[in-house]
Amino acid sequence: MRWLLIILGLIISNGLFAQSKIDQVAIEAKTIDGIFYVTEKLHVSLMDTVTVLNLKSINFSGSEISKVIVQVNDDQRLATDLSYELVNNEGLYHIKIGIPDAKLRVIQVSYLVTTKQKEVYLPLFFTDLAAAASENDFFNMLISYPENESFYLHFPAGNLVRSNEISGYETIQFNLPALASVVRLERLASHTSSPFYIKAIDWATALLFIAIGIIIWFYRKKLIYG
Amino acid sequence: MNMQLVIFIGYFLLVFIIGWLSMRLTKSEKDYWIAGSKLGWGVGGATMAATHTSAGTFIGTIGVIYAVGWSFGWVLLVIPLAYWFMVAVLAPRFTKITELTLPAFLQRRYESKLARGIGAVIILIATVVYIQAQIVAGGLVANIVFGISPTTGMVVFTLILLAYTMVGGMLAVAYTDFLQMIIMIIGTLISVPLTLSHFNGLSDLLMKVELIKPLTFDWSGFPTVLLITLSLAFFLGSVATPEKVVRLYAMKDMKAIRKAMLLTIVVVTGINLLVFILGLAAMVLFPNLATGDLAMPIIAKAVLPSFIGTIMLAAVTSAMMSTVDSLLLVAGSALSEDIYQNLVNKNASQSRRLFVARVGIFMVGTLPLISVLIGFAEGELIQFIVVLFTAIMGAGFFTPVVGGVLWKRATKQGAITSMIGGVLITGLWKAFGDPLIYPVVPGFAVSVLSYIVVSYFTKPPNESAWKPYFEKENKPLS
Repeated sequence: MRWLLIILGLIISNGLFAQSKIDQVAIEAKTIDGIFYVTEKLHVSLMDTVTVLNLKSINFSGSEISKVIVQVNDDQRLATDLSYELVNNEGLYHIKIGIPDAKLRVIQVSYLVTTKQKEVYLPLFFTDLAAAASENDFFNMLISYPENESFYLHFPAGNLVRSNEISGYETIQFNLPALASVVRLERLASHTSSPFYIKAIDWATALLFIAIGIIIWFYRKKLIYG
Repeated sequence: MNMQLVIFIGYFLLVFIIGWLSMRLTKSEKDYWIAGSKLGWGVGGATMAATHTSAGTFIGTIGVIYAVGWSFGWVLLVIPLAYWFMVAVLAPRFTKITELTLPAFLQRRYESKLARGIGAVIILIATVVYIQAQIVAGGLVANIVFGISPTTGMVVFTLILLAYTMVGGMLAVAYTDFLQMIIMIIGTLISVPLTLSHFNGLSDLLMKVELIKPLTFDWSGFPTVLLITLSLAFFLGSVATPEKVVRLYAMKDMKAIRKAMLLTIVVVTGINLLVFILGLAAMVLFPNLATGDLAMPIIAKAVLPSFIGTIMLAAVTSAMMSTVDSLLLVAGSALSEDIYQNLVNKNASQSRRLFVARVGIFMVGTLPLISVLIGFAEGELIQFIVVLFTAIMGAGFFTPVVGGVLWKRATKQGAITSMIGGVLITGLWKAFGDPLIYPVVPGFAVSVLSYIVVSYFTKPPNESAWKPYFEKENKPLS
């Protein structure tokens, strides 16, 4: 009997959430006068039995989220048509969205992030759902800033594409196989490719390996045979 | 992407060079299987630590911590205990006679070719299971780093492994393990502070983990019974798995073994503690992963600066390769020495046996790849595939190996029954038993009981079987 209950519980919980997934996430962030305007689109696949969706965002140091607007599907229906609640609970922003009769396919969250520090943390919203895949273009982000400013992207690291195709703006674009919970930027005083200490860490590591290799070569017989 | 490719290609070139140089140094079977029993504590300890630290650590442990929280940390506490047991209890008598393989020890101790053959078969079965986990991990890393499909990544990973293991034998394996351990230590030591730099210290990370997944710090995240039984699996597997035990033969004497094991304990414990932090950081920075097993590759790709991130991925790949090459070698020796020469062709020449070994390595290397490609263990966390392997090996070998050096009355019938019973019950429990009790428990219980009961009800062994291991003076026979 116990095993029957456990199996039934697994089937029920799998039915509710195991097949509800995030299919893709696309985010645009634009800064004007020190304020970041963030638009996040989450493409989801939800089971019919899901009635509430939770979006969360972690408050990293010094960043404030405000003026949150939630839209669903592509019909520009505003959050006033849905039951929706934003709670700021000691470092965690929490949006509970009541799911109406129609099935949700796209959730768009727009908000402002204000920060006065040199280090900029842009909190991003995530759900309790697992990602549907780990393809490199699962998560796409485009960050735009005025061309008289300069930013370095500390997190997420990886392959970035910088361009200045938009008049008056420079952009940073990247893809990742997973949704990050935050983007960490550093305002630079001038247009440089990266802060000096990042390059220093890379070079120091390379030199360390070379030094170890040399030491191993000179002491190879003692190391191998004791 | 270009730098990542350059670093990976450079690393693999280095590994091939080591394999080729080792081939030139390999003059005999003893060199091929146990590095001529000449290894000092530095390389000996490194190869032991590198063998232990596989995808199960860098991907599996982080993946489980990501999925269920830090209660899994209890299981990791038994690892230093297991290595202490190995050096304090097992090694002094076990190494009195140098053998080429663990099944060869079973044959000598129990004066039974059948025991040796059964041991070899268990090794082959368990090895295929374990290598599957590593291959899956290799595919994940390739997917994250190079954007190639996991399937392609798995195939490439397997081919590279087979190439240098078949060529160089234990010498290649030991020297590449040493290289890989250096990379793993440095990679982990650098990764942790860099990852923490995205937070205001460790306390900030812990606070954020508490916010998004409060159950992370609940010790009941894992059922207690399962935790205890998993710990037992790790303990038994850490002590008596063939790929670790055979390294005792590769080191030159007990003094080297003691120092090597101390090095192993320090390195393995240190790395496990550090990867713990990486698992928690992944939870906060990437809360919606498709599977917890992606946590480490995504940290290396998206959290660390490019060079260090690639080195860390090379370290993760190293960890997997260092474990798989050891297992391939053990499986190759099982097929060549313990089955082919022992049961099929007693007069096989050395060159014939080495040829059979290389064929065996190829077969055992490709079978896991095929079974993964056809969907075996799809969706299962890597750590649990690894633990299943550990359970099979532990339940199968711990009793006859440890019992063989501690109990003179043990007979060959007891050993054979113990191995078969242990593995069979472990497998059956995995398939049909209570999932809250890890299969190693009933498997080990049956293994011990049958060992004792059957030994008592069968004719005592000849003195020649146990005496060499229980004599006070060390008289190496090779």
